[in-house]
Amino acid sequence: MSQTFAVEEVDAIEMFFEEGWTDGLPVVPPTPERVEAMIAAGGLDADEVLGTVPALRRSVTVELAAVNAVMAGCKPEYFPIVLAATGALLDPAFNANAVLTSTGGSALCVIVSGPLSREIGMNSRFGALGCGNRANATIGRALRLISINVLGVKHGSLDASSFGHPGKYSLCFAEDDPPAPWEPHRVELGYERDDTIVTLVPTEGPRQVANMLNEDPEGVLRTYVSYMKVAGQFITGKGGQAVVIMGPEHALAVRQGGWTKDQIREFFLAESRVFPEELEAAGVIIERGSQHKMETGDDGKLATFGSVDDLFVLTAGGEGAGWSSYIPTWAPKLHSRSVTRRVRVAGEALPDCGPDACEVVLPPLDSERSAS
Amino acid sequence: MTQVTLYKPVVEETYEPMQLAERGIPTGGARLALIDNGKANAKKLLQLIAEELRSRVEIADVEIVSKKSAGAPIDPDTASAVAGRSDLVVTAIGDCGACSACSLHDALQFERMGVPATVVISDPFVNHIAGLSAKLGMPGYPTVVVPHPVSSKDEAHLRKLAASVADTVAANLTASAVAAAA
Repeated sequence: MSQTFAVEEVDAIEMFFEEGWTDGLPVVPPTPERVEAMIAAGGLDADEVLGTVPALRRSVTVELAAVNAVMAGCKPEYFPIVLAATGALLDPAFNANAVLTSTGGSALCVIVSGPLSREIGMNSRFGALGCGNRANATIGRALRLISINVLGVKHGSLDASSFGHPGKYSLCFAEDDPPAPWEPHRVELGYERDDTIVTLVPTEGPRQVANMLNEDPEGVLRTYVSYMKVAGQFITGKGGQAVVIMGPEHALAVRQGGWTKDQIREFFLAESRVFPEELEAAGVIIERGSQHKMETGDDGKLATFGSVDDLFVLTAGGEGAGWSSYIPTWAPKLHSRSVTRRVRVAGEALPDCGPDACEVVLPPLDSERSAS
Repeated sequence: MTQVTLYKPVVEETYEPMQLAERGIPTGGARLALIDNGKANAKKLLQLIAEELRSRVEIADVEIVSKKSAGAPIDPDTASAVAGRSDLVVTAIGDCGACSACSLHDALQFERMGVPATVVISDPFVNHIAGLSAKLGMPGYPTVVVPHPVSSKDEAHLRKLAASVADTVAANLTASAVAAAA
Protein backbone atom coordinates (compact mmCIF):
# COMPACT_ATOMS: atom_id res chain seq x y z
CA MET A 1 0.00 0.00 0.00
CA SER A 2 1.26 3.48 -0.77
CA GLN A 3 1.94 5.74 2.14
CA THR A 4 0.22 9.04 2.67
CA PHE A 5 1.66 12.10 4.31
CA ALA A 6 0.50 15.58 5.24
CA VAL A 7 1.95 18.75 3.76
CA GLU A 8 0.98 22.41 3.60
CA GLU A 9 -1.18 22.84 0.50
CA VAL A 10 0.89 25.78 -0.75
CA ASP A 11 4.08 23.73 -0.49
CA ALA A 12 2.84 20.56 -2.21
CA ILE A 13 4.00 21.25 -5.77
CA GLU A 14 7.48 22.40 -4.71
CA MET A 15 7.85 19.44 -2.38
CA PHE A 16 7.28 16.97 -5.21
CA PHE A 17 10.05 18.69 -7.20
CA GLU A 18 12.40 18.53 -4.24
CA GLU A 19 11.73 14.85 -3.67
CA GLY A 20 12.59 14.05 -7.29
CA TRP A 21 9.09 12.76 -7.97
CA THR A 22 8.55 14.67 -11.21
CA ASP A 23 9.68 14.61 -14.84
CA GLY A 24 10.89 18.18 -14.51
CA LEU A 25 7.39 19.66 -14.88
CA PRO A 26 4.95 20.34 -12.03
CA VAL A 27 2.60 17.53 -11.07
CA VAL A 28 -0.95 17.41 -9.76
CA PRO A 29 -0.89 16.66 -6.02
CA PRO A 30 -2.31 13.14 -5.50
CA THR A 31 -5.04 13.61 -2.90
CA PRO A 32 -7.00 10.59 -1.65
CA GLU A 33 -10.10 11.81 -3.50
CA ARG A 34 -8.29 12.03 -6.83
CA VAL A 35 -6.48 8.71 -6.38
CA GLU A 36 -9.62 6.85 -5.32
CA ALA A 37 -11.56 8.21 -8.30
CA MET A 38 -8.75 7.07 -10.58
CA ILE A 39 -8.64 3.56 -9.08
CA ALA A 40 -12.43 3.26 -9.35
CA ALA A 41 -12.30 4.08 -13.06
CA GLY A 42 -9.92 1.18 -13.67
CA GLY A 43 -12.23 -1.46 -12.23
CA LEU A 44 -9.36 -3.33 -10.53
CA ASP A 45 -8.42 -3.64 -6.86
CA ALA A 46 -5.97 -1.09 -5.57
CA ASP A 47 -3.42 -3.68 -4.46
CA GLU A 48 -3.50 -5.74 -7.63
CA VAL A 49 0.00 -6.10 -9.08
CA LEU A 50 0.28 -5.06 -12.73
CA GLY A 51 3.75 -6.54 -13.12
CA THR A 52 7.30 -6.71 -11.84
CA VAL A 53 10.70 -5.79 -13.22
CA PRO A 54 12.96 -8.28 -11.41
CA ALA A 55 16.17 -6.54 -12.37
CA LEU A 56 14.87 -3.40 -10.64
CA ARG A 57 13.24 -5.33 -7.77
CA ARG A 58 10.09 -3.30 -8.27
CA SER A 59 6.43 -4.15 -8.73
CA VAL A 60 3.70 -1.80 -9.87
CA THR A 61 0.31 -1.93 -8.19
CA VAL A 62 -2.92 -0.40 -9.45
CA GLU A 63 -2.76 2.09 -6.60
CA LEU A 64 0.74 3.29 -7.45
CA ALA A 65 -0.19 3.55 -11.11
CA ALA A 66 -3.23 5.60 -10.10
CA VAL A 67 -1.17 7.96 -7.91
CA ASN A 68 1.18 8.65 -10.80
CA ALA A 69 -1.67 8.98 -13.29
CA VAL A 70 -3.22 11.66 -11.06
CA MET A 71 0.14 13.40 -10.89
CA ALA A 72 0.40 13.31 -14.67
CA GLY A 73 -2.93 15.10 -14.95
CA CYS A 74 -4.99 12.15 -16.22
CA LYS A 75 -8.75 12.14 -15.92
CA PRO A 76 -10.17 8.93 -14.39
CA GLU A 77 -11.64 7.87 -17.76
CA TYR A 78 -8.09 7.61 -19.15
CA PHE A 79 -7.08 5.07 -16.52
CA PRO A 80 -8.04 1.84 -18.36
CA ILE A 81 -5.66 2.91 -21.13
CA VAL A 82 -2.94 3.76 -18.61
CA LEU A 83 -3.40 0.29 -17.07
CA ALA A 84 -3.05 -1.42 -20.45
CA ALA A 85 0.05 0.63 -21.30
CA THR A 86 1.57 -0.16 -17.89
CA GLY A 87 0.95 -3.86 -18.45
CA ALA A 88 2.80 -3.62 -21.75
CA LEU A 89 5.67 -1.77 -20.08
CA LEU A 90 6.04 -4.52 -17.49
CA ASP A 91 5.92 -7.40 -19.97
CA PRO A 92 9.31 -9.13 -19.87
CA ALA A 93 9.44 -9.02 -23.67
CA PHE A 94 9.46 -5.23 -23.54
CA ASN A 95 12.50 -5.39 -21.24
CA ALA A 96 11.73 -2.24 -19.27
CA ASN A 97 15.04 -2.40 -17.44
CA ALA A 98 17.01 -2.02 -20.68
CA VAL A 99 14.64 0.51 -22.24
CA LEU A 100 14.52 2.79 -19.20
CA THR A 101 18.17 2.66 -18.14
CA SER A 102 19.98 2.59 -21.48
CA THR A 103 22.18 5.40 -22.70
CA GLY A 104 20.01 5.23 -25.83
CA GLY A 105 17.41 7.44 -24.16
CA SER A 106 14.26 5.71 -25.41
CA ALA A 107 10.77 7.14 -25.21
CA LEU A 108 7.73 5.06 -24.32
CA CYS A 109 5.65 5.54 -27.47
CA VAL A 110 2.01 4.72 -26.74
CA ILE A 111 -0.21 3.99 -29.75
CA VAL A 112 -3.93 3.70 -28.99
CA SER A 113 -6.18 2.08 -31.58
CA GLY A 114 -9.90 1.74 -30.98
CA PRO A 115 -13.16 3.42 -30.01
CA LEU A 116 -12.16 4.25 -26.44
CA SER A 117 -9.53 6.64 -27.81
CA ARG A 118 -12.31 8.74 -29.36
CA GLU A 119 -14.58 8.46 -26.31
CA ILE A 120 -11.97 9.99 -24.04
CA GLY A 121 -11.05 12.70 -26.52
CA MET A 122 -7.60 11.58 -27.69
CA ASN A 123 -6.13 13.34 -30.70
CA SER A 124 -5.52 11.36 -33.88
CA ARG A 125 -5.59 14.28 -36.27
CA PHE A 126 -4.00 17.73 -36.43
CA GLY A 127 -1.02 17.88 -34.10
CA ALA A 128 -1.47 14.26 -33.01
CA LEU A 129 2.19 13.93 -31.98
CA GLY A 130 2.48 17.36 -30.47
CA CYS A 131 1.24 19.20 -27.44
CA GLY A 132 -2.22 20.53 -26.68
CA ASN A 133 -4.36 17.46 -26.05
CA ARG A 134 -4.84 16.46 -22.42
CA ALA A 135 -5.42 12.73 -23.02
CA ASN A 136 -2.41 12.31 -25.35
CA ALA A 137 -0.15 14.32 -23.07
CA THR A 138 -1.13 12.84 -19.74
CA ILE A 139 -1.44 9.16 -20.68
CA GLY A 140 2.11 9.19 -22.04
CA ARG A 141 3.26 11.20 -19.05
CA ALA A 142 1.70 8.75 -16.57
CA LEU A 143 3.84 5.96 -17.99
CA ARG A 144 7.00 8.04 -17.55
CA LEU A 145 6.12 9.02 -13.97
CA ILE A 146 5.48 5.35 -13.16
CA SER A 147 8.91 4.56 -14.58
CA ILE A 148 10.55 7.31 -12.53
CA ASN A 149 8.74 6.86 -9.25
CA VAL A 150 7.54 3.28 -9.02
CA LEU A 151 10.27 1.54 -11.03
CA GLY A 152 12.76 3.98 -9.59
CA VAL A 153 14.54 4.88 -12.81
CA LYS A 154 15.39 8.50 -12.24
CA HIS A 155 17.31 11.02 -14.27
CA GLY A 156 20.81 11.34 -12.90
CA SER A 157 20.97 7.84 -11.46
CA LEU A 158 19.50 4.75 -13.09
CA ASP A 159 18.31 6.62 -16.19
CA ALA A 160 21.63 6.75 -18.00
CA SER A 161 20.34 8.42 -21.18
CA SER A 162 23.16 10.18 -22.96
CA PHE A 163 20.70 12.56 -24.61
CA GLY A 164 17.16 11.30 -24.43
CA HIS A 165 14.64 13.38 -26.40
CA PRO A 166 11.43 15.33 -25.72
CA GLY A 167 9.33 12.23 -26.40
CA LYS A 168 10.42 11.04 -22.97
CA TYR A 169 7.97 13.54 -21.45
CA SER A 170 5.16 11.94 -23.43
CA LEU A 171 4.80 10.35 -26.87
CA CYS A 172 1.24 9.14 -27.15
CA PHE A 173 -1.33 9.38 -29.92
CA ALA A 174 -4.44 7.71 -31.28
CA GLU A 175 -4.81 6.06 -34.66
CA ASP A 176 -7.17 7.73 -37.12
CA ASP A 177 -8.95 4.68 -38.51
CA PRO A 178 -8.35 4.48 -42.27
CA PRO A 179 -11.17 4.10 -44.76
CA ALA A 180 -11.72 0.76 -46.49
CA PRO A 181 -10.07 -1.26 -47.85
CA TRP A 182 -7.35 -0.48 -45.30
CA GLU A 183 -7.94 -1.90 -41.81
CA PRO A 184 -7.10 -0.28 -38.48
CA HIS A 185 -3.99 -1.37 -36.58
CA ARG A 186 -5.99 -3.38 -34.00
CA VAL A 187 -7.77 -5.39 -36.71
CA GLU A 188 -4.49 -6.10 -38.47
CA LEU A 189 -3.12 -7.45 -35.19
CA GLY A 190 -6.11 -9.77 -34.87
CA TYR A 191 -8.27 -7.82 -32.42
CA GLU A 192 -11.93 -6.92 -32.90
CA ARG A 193 -12.88 -3.64 -34.50
CA ASP A 194 -14.70 -2.68 -31.27
CA ASP A 195 -11.67 -3.45 -29.10
CA THR A 196 -9.30 -0.75 -28.00
CA ILE A 197 -5.65 -1.73 -27.79
CA VAL A 198 -2.42 -0.11 -26.69
CA THR A 199 0.81 -0.83 -28.56
CA LEU A 200 3.87 0.28 -26.62
CA VAL A 201 7.03 0.83 -28.66
CA PRO A 202 10.44 1.84 -27.29
CA THR A 203 11.40 4.60 -29.70
CA GLU A 204 13.67 7.42 -30.71
CA GLY A 205 12.08 10.74 -31.59
CA PRO A 206 9.87 11.05 -34.69
CA ARG A 207 11.23 12.11 -38.05
CA GLN A 208 8.88 14.18 -40.16
CA VAL A 209 8.61 12.73 -43.67
CA ALA A 210 8.12 15.43 -46.31
CA ASN A 211 6.81 14.65 -49.77
CA MET A 212 4.71 17.42 -51.23
CA LEU A 213 4.69 16.94 -54.97
CA ASN A 214 4.53 13.23 -55.71
CA GLU A 215 1.30 11.23 -55.95
CA ASP A 216 2.97 8.09 -57.27
CA PRO A 217 2.59 5.46 -54.51
CA GLU A 218 6.06 4.02 -54.89
CA GLY A 219 7.57 7.48 -55.03
CA VAL A 220 5.87 8.43 -51.78
CA LEU A 221 6.93 5.21 -50.06
CA ARG A 222 10.54 5.67 -51.15
CA THR A 223 10.65 8.88 -49.16
CA TYR A 224 9.88 6.94 -45.99
CA VAL A 225 12.52 4.38 -46.98
CA SER A 226 15.12 7.14 -47.18
CA TYR A 227 14.78 7.54 -43.41
CA MET A 228 14.88 3.79 -42.79
CA LYS A 229 18.28 3.38 -44.45
CA VAL A 230 20.04 6.29 -42.77
CA ALA A 231 23.49 5.17 -41.57
CA GLY A 232 23.25 7.19 -38.38
CA GLN A 233 20.12 5.34 -37.26
CA PHE A 234 21.12 2.75 -34.70
CA ILE A 235 18.84 0.00 -36.02
CA THR A 236 19.97 0.29 -39.66
CA GLY A 237 21.25 -3.09 -40.73
CA LYS A 238 20.66 -4.57 -37.28
CA GLY A 239 16.98 -5.55 -37.10
CA GLY A 240 14.71 -3.16 -35.21
CA GLN A 241 11.10 -2.06 -35.39
CA ALA A 242 9.38 1.11 -36.54
CA VAL A 243 6.14 3.04 -36.42
CA VAL A 244 5.15 4.56 -39.77
CA ILE A 245 2.33 7.10 -39.51
CA MET A 246 0.97 8.03 -42.90
CA GLY A 247 -0.54 11.51 -43.12
CA PRO A 248 -3.73 12.03 -45.12
CA GLU A 249 -2.14 13.00 -48.45
CA HIS A 250 0.34 10.14 -48.51
CA ALA A 251 -2.21 7.60 -47.32
CA LEU A 252 -4.67 8.73 -50.00
CA ALA A 253 -2.10 8.56 -52.81
CA VAL A 254 -0.90 5.10 -51.85
CA ARG A 255 -4.36 3.69 -51.17
CA GLN A 256 -5.79 5.09 -54.39
CA GLY A 257 -2.84 3.54 -56.20
CA GLY A 258 -4.26 0.18 -55.11
CA TRP A 259 -1.64 -0.69 -52.48
CA THR A 260 -2.64 -2.75 -49.47
CA LYS A 261 -0.95 -2.24 -46.10
CA ASP A 262 0.63 -5.70 -46.45
CA GLN A 263 2.21 -4.57 -49.70
CA ILE A 264 3.44 -1.40 -48.04
CA ARG A 265 5.12 -3.40 -45.25
CA GLU A 266 6.72 -5.81 -47.73
CA PHE A 267 8.04 -2.85 -49.70
CA PHE A 268 9.53 -1.24 -46.60
CA LEU A 269 11.05 -4.55 -45.48
CA ALA A 270 12.81 -5.12 -48.80
CA GLU A 271 13.82 -1.57 -49.61
CA SER A 272 15.26 -0.80 -46.17
CA ARG A 273 17.99 -3.43 -46.57
CA VAL A 274 21.47 -1.87 -46.86
CA PHE A 275 24.86 -2.90 -48.22
CA PRO A 276 27.57 -2.90 -45.52
CA GLU A 277 29.46 -0.45 -47.73
CA GLU A 278 26.66 2.11 -47.31
CA LEU A 279 27.19 2.08 -43.56
CA GLU A 280 30.98 2.04 -43.84
CA ALA A 281 30.93 4.97 -46.26
CA ALA A 282 29.25 6.96 -43.50
CA GLY A 283 31.85 5.92 -40.95
CA VAL A 284 29.72 3.27 -39.29
CA ILE A 285 31.83 0.20 -38.59
CA ILE A 286 30.12 -3.17 -39.07
CA GLU A 287 30.09 -5.14 -35.81
CA ARG A 288 31.74 -8.52 -35.98
CA GLY A 289 31.57 -11.17 -33.28
CA SER A 290 29.29 -9.06 -31.11
CA GLN A 291 25.69 -9.35 -29.95
CA HIS A 292 24.37 -7.71 -33.13
CA LYS A 293 24.48 -10.35 -35.83
CA MET A 294 25.24 -8.15 -38.82
CA GLU A 295 25.26 -10.87 -41.44
CA THR A 296 24.40 -10.16 -45.05
CA GLY A 297 21.71 -12.12 -46.88
CA ASP A 298 21.86 -13.60 -50.36
CA ASP A 299 21.48 -10.11 -51.77
CA GLY A 300 24.66 -9.03 -49.97
CA LYS A 301 22.64 -6.69 -47.79
CA LEU A 302 21.86 -6.29 -44.09
CA ALA A 303 18.27 -6.19 -42.81
CA THR A 304 17.05 -3.09 -40.98
CA PHE A 305 13.84 -4.91 -40.07
CA GLY A 306 13.63 -8.66 -39.45
CA SER A 307 10.04 -9.15 -40.62
CA VAL A 308 6.92 -7.30 -41.79
CA ASP A 309 5.60 -7.68 -38.22
CA ASP A 310 8.25 -5.22 -37.09
CA LEU A 311 6.69 -2.44 -39.14
CA PHE A 312 3.56 -0.77 -37.74
CA VAL A 313 1.85 1.19 -40.52
CA LEU A 314 -0.88 3.51 -39.28
CA THR A 315 -2.84 6.52 -40.41
CA ALA A 316 -3.10 9.73 -38.37
CA GLY A 317 -2.33 13.41 -38.60
CA GLY A 318 -4.00 16.40 -40.22
CA GLU A 319 -4.16 17.54 -43.82
CA GLY A 320 -1.35 19.79 -44.88
CA ALA A 321 1.46 20.10 -47.34
CA GLY A 322 2.16 16.39 -47.42
CA TRP A 323 3.67 15.26 -44.14
CA SER A 324 4.01 11.89 -42.45
CA SER A 325 5.95 10.59 -39.48
CA TYR A 326 8.50 7.81 -39.04
CA ILE A 327 9.52 6.65 -35.57
CA PRO A 328 12.15 3.89 -35.27
CA THR A 329 12.88 1.89 -32.16
CA TRP A 330 15.89 2.98 -30.12
CA ALA A 331 17.71 -0.34 -30.47
CA PRO A 332 17.62 -3.68 -32.30
CA LYS A 333 14.82 -6.06 -31.37
CA LEU A 334 17.04 -8.39 -29.38
CA HIS A 335 17.17 -5.72 -26.66
CA SER A 336 13.52 -4.84 -26.46
CA ARG A 337 10.44 -5.28 -28.55
CA SER A 338 7.03 -3.67 -28.85
CA VAL A 339 4.21 -5.16 -26.77
CA THR A 340 0.46 -4.80 -27.35
CA ARG A 341 -2.24 -5.11 -24.72
CA ARG A 342 -5.99 -4.94 -25.06
CA VAL A 343 -7.68 -2.29 -22.90
CA ARG A 344 -10.01 -3.85 -20.33
CA VAL A 345 -12.84 -1.48 -19.65
CA ALA A 346 -13.89 -1.11 -16.01
CA GLY A 347 -16.54 -3.66 -15.09
CA GLU A 348 -15.58 -6.04 -17.87
CA ALA A 349 -16.06 -9.63 -16.65
CA LEU A 350 -13.13 -12.04 -16.51
CA PRO A 351 -13.20 -14.88 -19.04
CA ASP A 352 -15.43 -17.74 -17.95
CA CYS A 353 -13.32 -20.87 -17.59
CA GLY A 354 -16.31 -23.15 -17.25
CA PRO A 355 -17.74 -24.98 -14.22
CA ASP A 356 -15.01 -27.61 -13.81
CA ALA A 357 -11.93 -25.48 -14.22
CA CYS A 358 -9.49 -24.79 -11.40
CA GLU A 359 -10.91 -27.40 -9.06
CA VAL A 360 -8.31 -28.68 -6.63
CA VAL A 361 -8.70 -31.35 -3.99
CA LEU A 362 -6.97 -30.24 -0.82
CA PRO A 363 -5.93 -32.84 1.77
CA PRO A 364 -7.84 -32.62 5.04
CA LEU A 365 -6.24 -30.45 7.68
CA ASP A 366 -5.59 -33.43 10.04
CA SER A 367 -3.36 -35.34 7.66
CA GLU A 368 -1.46 -32.15 6.94
CA ARG A 369 -0.70 -31.75 10.61
CA SER A 370 0.37 -35.37 11.06
CA ALA A 371 2.56 -35.24 7.96
CA SER A 372 4.59 -32.29 9.24
CA MET B 1 -2.48 27.55 6.24
CA THR B 2 -4.25 24.38 5.11
CA GLN B 3 -2.74 20.95 5.34
CA VAL B 4 -3.50 18.33 2.69
CA THR B 5 -2.98 14.59 2.75
CA LEU B 6 -1.21 13.26 -0.31
CA TYR B 7 -0.11 9.87 -1.55
CA LYS B 8 3.58 9.09 -1.96
CA PRO B 9 4.18 8.06 -5.59
CA VAL B 10 7.10 5.79 -4.67
CA VAL B 11 7.59 2.52 -2.83
CA GLU B 12 9.94 1.88 0.04
CA GLU B 13 12.44 -0.61 -1.29
CA THR B 14 12.22 -4.09 0.08
CA TYR B 15 14.73 -6.73 -0.86
CA GLU B 16 16.48 -9.56 0.88
CA PRO B 17 20.07 -8.57 1.58
CA MET B 18 22.39 -10.86 -0.36
CA GLN B 19 25.46 -12.51 1.05
CA LEU B 20 28.69 -12.46 -0.95
CA ALA B 21 29.97 -15.90 -1.92
CA GLU B 22 32.82 -17.25 0.17
CA ARG B 23 36.21 -16.46 -1.31
CA GLY B 24 39.06 -18.96 -1.74
CA ILE B 25 41.00 -20.65 -4.54
CA PRO B 26 40.68 -24.46 -4.68
CA THR B 27 43.81 -26.60 -4.77
CA GLY B 28 44.94 -27.12 -8.32
CA GLY B 29 43.63 -23.78 -9.46
CA ALA B 30 40.31 -22.06 -10.10
CA ARG B 31 38.03 -22.63 -13.08
CA LEU B 32 37.34 -19.15 -14.42
CA ALA B 33 34.16 -18.30 -16.35
CA LEU B 34 34.07 -15.08 -18.38
CA ILE B 35 30.55 -13.81 -19.08
CA ASP B 36 30.76 -11.82 -22.31
CA ASN B 37 27.68 -9.63 -22.89
CA GLY B 38 28.42 -9.19 -26.58
CA LYS B 39 29.29 -5.49 -26.40
CA ALA B 40 32.13 -4.46 -28.69
CA ASN B 41 35.50 -5.44 -27.16
CA ALA B 42 33.86 -7.16 -24.16
CA LYS B 43 35.11 -10.61 -25.14
CA LYS B 44 38.56 -9.33 -26.07
CA LEU B 45 38.94 -7.43 -22.81
CA LEU B 46 37.80 -10.44 -20.78
CA GLN B 47 40.32 -12.69 -22.53
CA LEU B 48 43.11 -10.21 -21.85
CA ILE B 49 42.03 -9.88 -18.22
CA ALA B 50 42.09 -13.68 -17.92
CA GLU B 51 45.66 -13.76 -19.30
CA GLU B 52 46.73 -11.14 -16.76
CA LEU B 53 44.95 -12.96 -13.95
CA ARG B 54 47.05 -16.06 -14.49
CA SER B 55 50.05 -14.27 -13.00
CA ARG B 56 48.06 -13.25 -9.94
CA VAL B 57 45.74 -16.16 -9.19
CA GLU B 58 46.13 -19.89 -9.84
CA ILE B 59 43.84 -20.54 -12.82
CA ALA B 60 43.17 -24.11 -13.92
CA ASP B 61 40.82 -23.43 -16.78
CA VAL B 62 39.08 -20.54 -18.61
CA GLU B 63 35.65 -20.68 -20.25
CA ILE B 64 33.92 -17.89 -22.19
CA VAL B 65 30.13 -17.72 -22.10
CA SER B 66 28.60 -15.19 -24.51
CA LYS B 67 25.15 -13.75 -23.76
CA LYS B 68 22.63 -13.26 -26.54
CA SER B 69 21.94 -9.70 -25.43
CA ALA B 70 23.74 -7.22 -23.23
CA GLY B 71 20.37 -5.78 -22.28
CA ALA B 72 19.16 -8.88 -20.48
CA PRO B 73 20.55 -10.82 -17.50
CA ILE B 74 22.11 -14.22 -18.13
CA ASP B 75 19.57 -16.97 -18.64
CA PRO B 76 19.02 -18.71 -15.23
CA ASP B 77 19.56 -22.24 -16.59
CA THR B 78 22.82 -21.20 -18.21
CA ALA B 79 23.86 -19.41 -15.02
CA SER B 80 23.19 -22.52 -12.93
CA ALA B 81 25.14 -24.70 -15.30
CA VAL B 82 28.08 -22.30 -15.39
CA ALA B 83 28.01 -21.92 -11.58
CA GLY B 84 28.23 -25.70 -11.29
CA ARG B 85 31.48 -25.85 -13.19
CA SER B 86 33.19 -22.56 -12.17
CA ASP B 87 35.05 -21.18 -9.16
CA LEU B 88 35.37 -17.57 -10.32
CA VAL B 89 33.32 -15.36 -12.63
CA VAL B 90 34.10 -12.07 -14.36
CA THR B 91 31.28 -10.30 -16.25
CA ALA B 92 31.85 -7.52 -18.80
CA ILE B 93 31.41 -5.01 -20.07
CA GLY B 94 29.10 -2.50 -18.44
CA ASP B 95 29.72 0.54 -20.64
CA CYS B 96 26.14 1.64 -20.91
CA GLY B 97 23.18 1.93 -18.59
CA ALA B 98 21.36 -1.26 -19.48
CA CYS B 99 24.33 -3.57 -19.95
CA SER B 100 26.09 -2.47 -16.77
CA ALA B 101 22.90 -3.12 -14.84
CA CYS B 102 22.55 -6.57 -16.43
CA SER B 103 26.20 -7.53 -15.99
CA LEU B 104 26.01 -6.45 -12.35
CA HIS B 105 22.86 -8.52 -11.96
CA ASP B 106 24.73 -11.49 -13.47
CA ALA B 107 27.63 -11.08 -11.05
CA LEU B 108 25.24 -10.95 -8.10
CA GLN B 109 23.44 -14.06 -9.37
CA PHE B 110 26.71 -15.97 -9.23
CA GLU B 111 27.47 -14.58 -5.77
CA ARG B 112 24.11 -15.90 -4.65
CA MET B 113 24.95 -19.31 -6.11
CA GLY B 114 28.19 -19.36 -4.12
CA VAL B 115 30.59 -18.37 -6.90
CA PRO B 116 32.80 -15.29 -6.31
CA ALA B 117 32.23 -12.81 -9.11
CA THR B 118 33.00 -9.31 -10.23
CA VAL B 119 31.77 -6.97 -12.96
CA VAL B 120 33.76 -4.65 -15.22
CA ILE B 121 32.08 -1.29 -15.85
CA SER B 122 33.22 1.94 -17.42
CA ASP B 123 33.61 5.00 -15.22
CA PRO B 124 30.51 7.02 -16.13
CA PHE B 125 28.35 4.23 -14.72
CA VAL B 126 29.82 4.03 -11.25
CA ASN B 127 26.89 5.92 -9.69
CA HIS B 128 24.38 3.97 -11.75
CA ILE B 129 25.78 0.66 -10.50
CA ALA B 130 26.12 1.91 -6.95
CA GLY B 131 22.42 2.73 -6.94
CA LEU B 132 21.50 -0.60 -8.42
CA SER B 133 23.74 -2.59 -6.09
CA ALA B 134 22.01 -1.01 -3.12
CA LYS B 135 18.64 -1.73 -4.66
CA LEU B 136 19.62 -5.36 -5.15
CA GLY B 137 20.68 -5.70 -1.51
CA MET B 138 24.41 -5.31 -1.98
CA PRO B 139 25.26 -1.70 -1.29
CA GLY B 140 28.86 -0.92 -2.10
CA TYR B 141 29.43 -4.10 -4.12
CA PRO B 142 33.00 -3.89 -5.41
CA THR B 143 33.32 -3.46 -9.17
CA VAL B 144 36.16 -3.06 -11.67
CA VAL B 145 36.12 0.36 -13.33
CA VAL B 146 37.76 1.16 -16.66
CA PRO B 147 37.86 4.54 -18.40
CA HIS B 148 35.10 5.12 -20.96
CA PRO B 149 35.00 4.37 -23.88
CA VAL B 150 36.21 0.84 -24.35
CA SER B 151 34.29 -0.22 -27.44
CA SER B 152 36.35 1.85 -29.87
CA LYS B 153 39.81 0.90 -28.58
CA ASP B 154 42.37 -1.29 -30.36
CA GLU B 155 44.01 -4.41 -28.96
CA ALA B 156 47.16 -2.64 -27.80
CA HIS B 157 45.05 -0.29 -25.70
CA LEU B 158 42.91 -3.13 -24.33
CA ARG B 159 46.03 -5.00 -23.31
CA LYS B 160 47.19 -2.03 -21.24
CA LEU B 161 43.71 -1.69 -19.75
CA ALA B 162 43.62 -5.34 -18.74
CA ALA B 163 47.03 -5.04 -17.13
CA SER B 164 45.93 -1.93 -15.21
CA VAL B 165 42.82 -3.54 -13.69
CA ALA B 166 44.04 -7.09 -13.15
CA ASP B 167 45.03 -6.42 -9.55
CA THR B 168 41.53 -5.12 -8.78
CA VAL B 169 39.93 -8.10 -10.48
CA ALA B 170 42.10 -10.47 -8.48
CA ALA B 171 41.36 -8.63 -5.26
CA ASN B 172 37.61 -8.60 -5.85
CA LEU B 173 37.61 -12.34 -6.52
CA THR B 174 39.70 -13.38 -3.54
CA ALA B 175 39.27 -13.01 0.20
CA SER B 176 41.41 -9.92 0.82
CA ALA B 177 39.20 -7.43 -1.07
CA VAL B 178 35.98 -8.71 0.47
CA ALA B 179 37.32 -8.33 3.98
CA ALA B 180 38.38 -4.78 3.16
CA ALA B 181 35.00 -3.86 1.69
CA ALA B 182 32.94 -5.27 4.59
